Amino acid sequence: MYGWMGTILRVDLSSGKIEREPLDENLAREYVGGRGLGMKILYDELNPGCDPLSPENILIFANGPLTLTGALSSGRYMVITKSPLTGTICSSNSGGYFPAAFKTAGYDAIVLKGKSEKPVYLWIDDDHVELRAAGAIWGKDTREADRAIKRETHKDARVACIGPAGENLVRFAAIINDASRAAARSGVGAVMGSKNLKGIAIRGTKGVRVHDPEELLRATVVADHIKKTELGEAFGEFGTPLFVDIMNANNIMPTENFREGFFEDGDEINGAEIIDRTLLRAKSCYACCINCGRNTKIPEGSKYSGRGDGPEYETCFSLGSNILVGDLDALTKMNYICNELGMDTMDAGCTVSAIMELFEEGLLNEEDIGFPMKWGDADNTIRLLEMIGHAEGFGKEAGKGGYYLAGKCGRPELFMGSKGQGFAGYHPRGMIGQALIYATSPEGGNHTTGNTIQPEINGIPEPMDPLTGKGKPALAIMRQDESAIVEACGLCVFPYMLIETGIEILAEYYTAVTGKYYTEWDIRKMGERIFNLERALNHKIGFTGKDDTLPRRMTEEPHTEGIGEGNVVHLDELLKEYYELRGWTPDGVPSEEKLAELGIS
Amino acid sequence: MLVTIKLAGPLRKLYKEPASRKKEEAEIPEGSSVGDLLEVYDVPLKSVRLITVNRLKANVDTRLSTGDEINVIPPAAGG
Repeated sequence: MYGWMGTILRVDLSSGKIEREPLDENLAREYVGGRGLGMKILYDELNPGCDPLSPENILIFANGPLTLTGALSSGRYMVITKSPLTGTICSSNSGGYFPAAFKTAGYDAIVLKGKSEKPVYLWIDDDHVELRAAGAIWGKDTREADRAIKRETHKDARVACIGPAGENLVRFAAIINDASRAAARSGVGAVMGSKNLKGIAIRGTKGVRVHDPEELLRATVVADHIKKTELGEAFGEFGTPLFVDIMNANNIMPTENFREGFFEDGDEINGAEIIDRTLLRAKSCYACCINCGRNTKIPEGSKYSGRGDGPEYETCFSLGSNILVGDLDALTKMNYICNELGMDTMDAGCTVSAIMELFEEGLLNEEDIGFPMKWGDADNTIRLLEMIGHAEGFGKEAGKGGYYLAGKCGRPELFMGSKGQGFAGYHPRGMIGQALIYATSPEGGNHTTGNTIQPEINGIPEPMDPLTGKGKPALAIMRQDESAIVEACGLCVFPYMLIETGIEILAEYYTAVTGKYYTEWDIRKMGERIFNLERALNHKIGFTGKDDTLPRRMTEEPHTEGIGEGNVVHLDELLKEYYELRGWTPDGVPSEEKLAELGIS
Repeated sequence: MLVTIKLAGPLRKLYKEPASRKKEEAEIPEGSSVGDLLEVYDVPLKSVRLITVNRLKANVDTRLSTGDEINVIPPAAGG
């Protein structure tokens, strides 16, 4: 097989048994790799009713057939499991250099089951695979753990690990690889912690076979083209925080727990401010010409200190505008803390914003928390984040997530998310296509299972009014399916979903790598299969269309001013059309006919 | 008349004053439009995705008044 390494590594953490299994060629052809392959393994092997934090849950690491092939931005891997945050399936993806090591060691996926009696880490040195005691490393933050594991294994090893948040089963704990990149969402780090698995270290020295290397050389040409587009230039220079300006101007930068879409201090936390104040250098993942990562340092003389990576735009929103913090140094510090403790900045932020509103409403008070949590209070937010990661005091409750906490206070609608996962930084009331994606995503409120920035904000290929529902069900479906296939291939969504010809390029790469002819239509069909599989597995767990909801704030409380004033999301109408176009039942379940058409069994 | 212009992201290199980082005041003739202002700043229209005046959507024909704040936003992507 070209593209795939042909081996799945299976590790039973309860017994310590390690096995290699040849990758089933038909499985790979139908479900590709990454998110698709991982989800199919989960579909076939997961007890849908299992507690996500029990040994019964399955944790899968997977790269894709285009990972490490030379295809543009192909340094990604995914973590697939049942989420302890939402109870749904999830696929959390990350970049950096760990994915390249993962693939060159010779594996398409690592399937982890059971629970180790004592803390361990998995050391993979090409064909040599062993579980090693991690007692001395348990408790360390992700940077310390990364260093310690490298010291014990190999200086060239690449490490993915959890911090104290994962060990303490924080429901939005992340897996951090290369000491700063995060498979952040859905609590995948807590699943790893529940298995007593501190990390996975990999050193790989093998190559990937591709069918037509000459055709793949076109990657260089495409990369050169992309570098010259607005995407390449602007993101390389400003990183994703460029979105602060764009979303703020469009009145969709979530502010004060999504009450509004404009943050007055946006200029204090945007890409330009990062360049002027904290940026050390732009960073890239493996095989990427965009360099959107930010390596930063809080300047001397600030009341905060530290050095690390970030923030990305999603953190500028979640721990900035949405909690009314307009201090870049404080925001950057919060980002470092989340990275070091191993937590998703997005759900951490959506939890904090819910806490601030609950505090304002008098539903949480100083006695509950230990201190006040008022809008814009950066120092107490920093305190709270540390308490969450270390499961101390009120942090233990907050670590169960904002949806849990708001529900406990009798106001679940004050958590801004879907299926218990916080939204990304695109206000649903001002971006109706994105609202529908949030509601129907199998993983809850995230932007990686589809985003509509290109048509709704950039007007590419055709401008679509972001404030209306017209054409949005079809758009949401297209973008969700695109996202599924991009993540199954082991690619980054940026170049493939933010330039007009992204999926066309992907089809050409896929053909060159695998040696089988794939059209753009074939590629989109594979995305549709994966997305339907995810919804079908969610249905086995117990999720239906009744869970495709948005908080009342999105459907009943309008934007009060600026672009989109008076707008709300008319979700019921959108869902009806969406389910029909998907070929699902009226209650949002993939129909037998649709599953048969896609060959899902 | 005096207006304030904000040039987001890569457009900020077009500020007249090198010290301007977030915005800058511009003296333009009474009755000027957004298009006139963009011409003063040599902003290429292909690099503009959204223009707002006082946080409401505007276009090159929008007439400006003293004290207006004009925000010029590039696309989030290209291709």
